[in-house]
Amino acid sequence: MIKHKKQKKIKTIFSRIMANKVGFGALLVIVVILSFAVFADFIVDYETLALGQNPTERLQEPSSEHIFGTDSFGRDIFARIIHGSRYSLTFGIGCSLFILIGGSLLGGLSAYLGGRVDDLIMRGLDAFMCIPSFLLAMALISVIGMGLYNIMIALVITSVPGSAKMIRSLVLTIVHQEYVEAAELSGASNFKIIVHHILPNASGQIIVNTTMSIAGLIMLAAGLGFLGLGIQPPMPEWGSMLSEGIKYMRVKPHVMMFPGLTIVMTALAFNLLGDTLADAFDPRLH
Amino acid sequence: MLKFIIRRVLAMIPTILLVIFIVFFITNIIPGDPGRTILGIKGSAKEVALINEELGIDDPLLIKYVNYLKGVIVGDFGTSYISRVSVLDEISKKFPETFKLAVIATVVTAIFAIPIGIISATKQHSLLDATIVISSLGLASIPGFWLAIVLIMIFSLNLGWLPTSGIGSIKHYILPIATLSLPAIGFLSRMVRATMLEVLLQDYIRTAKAKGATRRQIIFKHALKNVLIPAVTILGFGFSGMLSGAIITEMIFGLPGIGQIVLNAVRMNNVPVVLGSTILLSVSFMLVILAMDIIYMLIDPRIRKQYI
Repeated sequence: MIKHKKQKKIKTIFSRIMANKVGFGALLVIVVILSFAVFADFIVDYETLALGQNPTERLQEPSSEHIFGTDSFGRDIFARIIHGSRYSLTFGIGCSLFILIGGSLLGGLSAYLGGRVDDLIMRGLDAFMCIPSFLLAMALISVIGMGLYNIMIALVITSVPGSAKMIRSLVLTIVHQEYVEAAELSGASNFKIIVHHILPNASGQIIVNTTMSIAGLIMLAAGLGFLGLGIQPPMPEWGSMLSEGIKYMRVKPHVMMFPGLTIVMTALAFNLLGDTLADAFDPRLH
Repeated sequence: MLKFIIRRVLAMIPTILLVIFIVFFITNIIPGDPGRTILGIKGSAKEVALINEELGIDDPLLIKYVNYLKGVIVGDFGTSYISRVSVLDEISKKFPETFKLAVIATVVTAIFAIPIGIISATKQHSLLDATIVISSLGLASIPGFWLAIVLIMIFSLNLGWLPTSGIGSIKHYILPIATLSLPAIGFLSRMVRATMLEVLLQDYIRTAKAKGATRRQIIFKHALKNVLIPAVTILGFGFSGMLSGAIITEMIFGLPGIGQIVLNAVRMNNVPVVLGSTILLSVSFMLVILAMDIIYMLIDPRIRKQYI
């Protein structure tokens, strides 16, 4: 019965997203970018087009052959953006999952244990959040070095405290609701309360926050790449592609325009999806 | 009142120690090779080892932390590996510029975002509201560094209205402040709109309506106050992001401030400078939050009652 109810709930939420034109558009954009990332090798060749330098074709304007033009090494910008989506989505989606796991463990534990442990964890997290997170990520990368995993570690470590605090306050609000107290009184075990009451009621907010955090993480990772602290050239990463294009912004603005627009479009799509999800989970707020 | 401030300042001390510990721990996870950084490739292996020994590279982390703290208490944040100048001297002169930029951008954000959010909420379901909602989300999705470059392209290179970089006049600050404020305006106006919508559903608003208050009275007298406090909270906590943003903006627009110093230090693995500036920025952020708490206490009788 519960399973049936759950399916019905998911179905309603899905149909609400589909009914919202903006949300549907955002979902479509995300599906397209995701499939670019998954099928990148079938769309454009990595070695020849995204990495292979071609001095005779450098800084070409967009044309039918190179729809986004070429960069200063004669590489196809479209091919680089397609392959770069792999990095950006890994940072966005991958890190947000780790952040969710870390945040749930820390925030949930803090809320569950309460008392002194809770105070201690909160004190630590508060101190952590006084440090400007982008700066902390930069500092961490300067020490542990650049590279896919190191950047992910830096992004996850700097974002977990915020996520933990959010999840803690969410759990505490739910725990103090009357229906949880009623379940407690009727003798439900802690496990049962967590699975049947806390998780289903917290999931909406958590899904919305995670979706929106993907947008933020994609922008953060691109910011690191822009400063030369991300994935190193010649690998195609959106942020570093953009910073390479700055040199030519007077004469060939397309070199920096297309990676930038891609970042904005991707971030906007995740933000819009999060916004639509928020409405779908809780229509009262809109 | 004074008691409250003293208590809040005292409560900051353990947090500051914790902040220093976190930043210290993170920048010292890997001992590194400062001797090599200081001497460059020219230094012989023996000299490098000597400097590393002098800096106590192999000491346990906790001992290094205590030694560092001892220095911090007397205002010694160490010496830059590259310039061999005291870190405090290097950053403290330029820090006010960065702080000023972040403060001005925050004020500009508030001036625009709060009215926009309120207008959007009071005209819910109108075309104006829909436009504001979508464009504010759009603004919040633009990474600052790209926005900066697009603004330079439009207003400096194509229209020629504003300078691309440097200092000298107020004009030089328009684009940097726009870069910092626009995404924040997008974010904050959405929050203000959501809070306002929620406030308008409250019982006391219904009571005011029932008693015959006009729409203008309801919005300005009853709702506004309750919207301002969450808005200021968001701005206060967003200040840490503004500081990070200011560093990058300063670099792009060639403004004086610690931006260039911090970025160079990060790239060269100049640990004392990274450590010192991160601590300075964190503490300045904490002071902003403290100021915010004090202002709250002054304007909100409910909060004041908790402390007196």
